[in-house]
Amino acid sequence: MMDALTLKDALFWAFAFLTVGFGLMVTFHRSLVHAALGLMGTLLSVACIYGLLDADFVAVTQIIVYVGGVLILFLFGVFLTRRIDDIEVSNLSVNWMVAVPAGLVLLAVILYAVISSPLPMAPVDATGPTVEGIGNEFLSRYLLPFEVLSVILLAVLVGALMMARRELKPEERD
Amino acid sequence: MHVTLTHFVALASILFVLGLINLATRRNAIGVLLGVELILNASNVNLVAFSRYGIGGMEGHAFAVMVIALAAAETVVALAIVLAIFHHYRTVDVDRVSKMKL
Repeated sequence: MMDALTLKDALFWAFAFLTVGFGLMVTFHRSLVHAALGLMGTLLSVACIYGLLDADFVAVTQIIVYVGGVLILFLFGVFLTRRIDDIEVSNLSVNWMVAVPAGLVLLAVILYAVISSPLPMAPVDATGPTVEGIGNEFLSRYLLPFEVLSVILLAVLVGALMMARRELKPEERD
Repeated sequence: MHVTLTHFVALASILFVLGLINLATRRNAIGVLLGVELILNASNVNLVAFSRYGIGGMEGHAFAVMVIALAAAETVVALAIVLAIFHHYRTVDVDRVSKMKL
């Protein structure tokens, strides 16, 4: 198993380093705008990882919904709440001295568990486009969660509008 | 050394821990939400990777799509709450926003 790296392995390492690098930027950059842009890098790299895993539909959904929608929303949120350049407001707080070592210990435990557990080594044969399989899952076994999800989206639409709108004072009405 | 499922799960756990550290250290509420997105992405990488290596068939993909949709919904509601908090308190510092009702 120690032969030369295949193209797929090289791509995995490249995208893995990009993912972790941008993830570090999200977590540790002092400016919130840079952290949001780092999240864009992470999301795109993760989409490429999905591509390596032959998950074409999930990769495209990731780019459309996350990079095209959620991230724009984040940037709007960052810009709508002022004083983002104020380090006092957006920087890391003092408890990183606790959080980072605790996180590293947790990471060590998880990695030990991952490495020592018997995971399957070989991928199953690629089945081509995954859209048909996902559609079959959603419209047969997971029909109820699918419908509940659409109701949740409607509730979110109404709820977010209700919460984010500015309260009009009585004299401002009509 | 060929890339196996272990590599993907290790990558996902690194992303997860980064998101967790972000949750613990950011003081800006929107920064905290960025950490939540990292954690959800880590879970999605796991779902898709296990599905690719023959555990669960297409269910992993279906759940990943569902997680993406729920993450979008969560972000919308959370940002609406953050905006409402900002209108009320004039700050989004989660250390200073300590009252549910005024």
